[in-house]
Amino acid sequence: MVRAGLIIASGFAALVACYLVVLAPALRAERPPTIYTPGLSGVTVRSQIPVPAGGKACTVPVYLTRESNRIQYLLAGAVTSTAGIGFTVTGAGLSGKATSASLQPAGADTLLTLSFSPAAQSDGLPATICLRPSKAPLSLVGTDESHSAVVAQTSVDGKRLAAQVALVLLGPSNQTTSEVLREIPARVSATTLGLIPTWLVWALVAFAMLATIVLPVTALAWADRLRGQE
Amino acid sequence: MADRKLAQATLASSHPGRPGGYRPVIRLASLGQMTDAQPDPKSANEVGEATQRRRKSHLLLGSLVIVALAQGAVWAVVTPPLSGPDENGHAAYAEYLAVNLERPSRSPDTGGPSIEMSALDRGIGAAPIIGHPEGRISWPAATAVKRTLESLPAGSNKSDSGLNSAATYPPLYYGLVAAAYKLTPGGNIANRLLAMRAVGVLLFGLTVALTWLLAGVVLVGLWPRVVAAGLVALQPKLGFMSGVINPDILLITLTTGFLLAGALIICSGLTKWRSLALVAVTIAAAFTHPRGLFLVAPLVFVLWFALWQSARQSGSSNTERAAKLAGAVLVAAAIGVISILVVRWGNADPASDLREFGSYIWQFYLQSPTFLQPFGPAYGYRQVFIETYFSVFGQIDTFPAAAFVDALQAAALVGLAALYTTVVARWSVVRSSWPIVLLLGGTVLSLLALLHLVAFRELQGASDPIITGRYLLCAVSVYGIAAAWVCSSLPKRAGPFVAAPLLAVSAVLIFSGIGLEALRFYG
Repeated sequence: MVRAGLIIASGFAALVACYLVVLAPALRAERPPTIYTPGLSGVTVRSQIPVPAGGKACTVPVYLTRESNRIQYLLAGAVTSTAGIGFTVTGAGLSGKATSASLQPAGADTLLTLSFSPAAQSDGLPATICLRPSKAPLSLVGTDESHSAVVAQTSVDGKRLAAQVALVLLGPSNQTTSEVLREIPARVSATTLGLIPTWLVWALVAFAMLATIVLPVTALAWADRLRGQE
Repeated sequence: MADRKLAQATLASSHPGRPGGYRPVIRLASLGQMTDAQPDPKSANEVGEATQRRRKSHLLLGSLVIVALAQGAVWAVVTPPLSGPDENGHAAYAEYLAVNLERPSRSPDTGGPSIEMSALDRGIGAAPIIGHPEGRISWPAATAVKRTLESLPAGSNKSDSGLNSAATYPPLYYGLVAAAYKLTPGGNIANRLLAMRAVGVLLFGLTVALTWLLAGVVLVGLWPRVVAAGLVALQPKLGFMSGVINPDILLITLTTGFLLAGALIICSGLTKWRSLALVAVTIAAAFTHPRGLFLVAPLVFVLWFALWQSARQSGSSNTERAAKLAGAVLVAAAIGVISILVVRWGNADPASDLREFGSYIWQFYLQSPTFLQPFGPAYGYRQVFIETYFSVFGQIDTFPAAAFVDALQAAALVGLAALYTTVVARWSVVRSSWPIVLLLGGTVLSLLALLHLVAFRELQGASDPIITGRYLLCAVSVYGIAAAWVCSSLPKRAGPFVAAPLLAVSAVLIFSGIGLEALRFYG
């Protein structure tokens, strides 16, 4: 009995050590709260979509959620000022606009992050988002490669483009990995188109984790004990 | 020597009354495990104890199968539809087979995804984000996608024509998942895809059970069986592959079944059912994936060995000599076939091709030295045996951190060193068990030979190295058995104290793998 307990303890000691060394730091790490990517930049083909000063680039549909209140564009080249950049978001029962804008270098390009308000009152609300540079023209990064083609279509001043624009829909603030992981079962459930409810995803994950941690090491200790009894 | 005698004595008692007095081949026993062999039950009490032991053994197996099924189910649910390796092609093939009751063809191109499958694929953004590590599934669009699917006209499950890269593959696996597609009552295409994935999860459970049985044949003792089957149940890439639609999972199950049938023939003799099972599994593997042809070489070996054993038992020295000669001819033929393929698939003169093949193998397993011309991309042992064998999920675009792979590689090196040390320390057991060692090792070598030959051919014209770690999963039971044998060979009954942390670390690999997959697509 003591030997079986020691075997189980050695397994759990390794598990705890791995958790502390590998998993815990990864779970504490911060990451951007990405909701989803309505548009992509190219893998092999990069497009630049010019938007003239006073013009507007609109993308539809972008599916909003209750947590999503930021959207990120990728601008070609180095951009230093957000002055005169307007943004609107419209959907059923929603009419919002940018409350703040920030820039962040991304290699040779620049990430433009726009916070907007109000947020959608329900998940999956299809909306139209429009970027309006009033003072200086902008060049949006995107792609027209076929394999990266998404549902959302972009038009500039009413003219529909073949290329799509790289877009990231974000939540309010950075989260730790463990916080993001806690939101994932609901997202997984949504992707099953309602077949598996969120609680069942949670139950399945919890059962699998428990079984994976407990059963193999316990089975090993028990098998060793059976030998001892023979 | 004492080792060998002990093992033989044990085995003789564990295989009583075999037809024809077949002398069983020694198994990969270790001194510490000799007491594990079960004596013949004689009294009613002993019979009762044997039954109880069997029940307990079934419980242990059941617990490991539960681990595999639960884990496979999580992988199947967490991986978004059509987001496994080439999954859209495999799913479209099975759907075409289910709807049209015939295989898709590449000439003219048929078997592309149906209208509803394409609508789902594009709607949730599974296809566009392939190769985009920054891309995430469009889960907020799920309600709209569901409405779109519901509004599609009848007949939207027909192929939307187009090329299917999987169309040349044989139909066995696709027939199985097509049955799951057909048997799914109502629902939309997302439900049917999940039902098709469930086939892989069940095959994963079966693979664990077959590994358990195989370990029972080639290893002595109960706990090494738990380690062997447990490590298979906790192989993260295998779990991932069970949760997506891909013929590899059936090939893995069939290979494990093949090894079990082969080991039974070697250890307990050739019977009608065993030989039938062995041949049937080999044929089924060839009808699952062309890669399944690697089983032909070990099949020939097992059949040759069984015939040689029969010749030995018949007492005819001429027959025995003929069998030995046939063995030598088969080895020469195998080397000849490999050489011919290298030369045929090469692009220069035969001597140069063979040299180039040798250079490719060297560069694959060892660092590329400056005196050798680089052959293909920098892709070798680390990428195949470590990175993509234990990790890299999604559409081969979900990578772990480099430090994590470094740690895995270091652990694999320690494991290989331990295996080498065990082989040296227990050489007498290895030598006595040579048919089993040849079956297990030869199957791995045959798989590697086929993979390297095909990769060599591909690298002549393109830069795609073609080999990936999931192809090695066919030998996953050998990985489990090798680790269990090393643990069971440790002195002073220390094995379980090494095996328990090994299982625990494997469990951590599972968690990190599932977490990596979830974050890649949803976070």
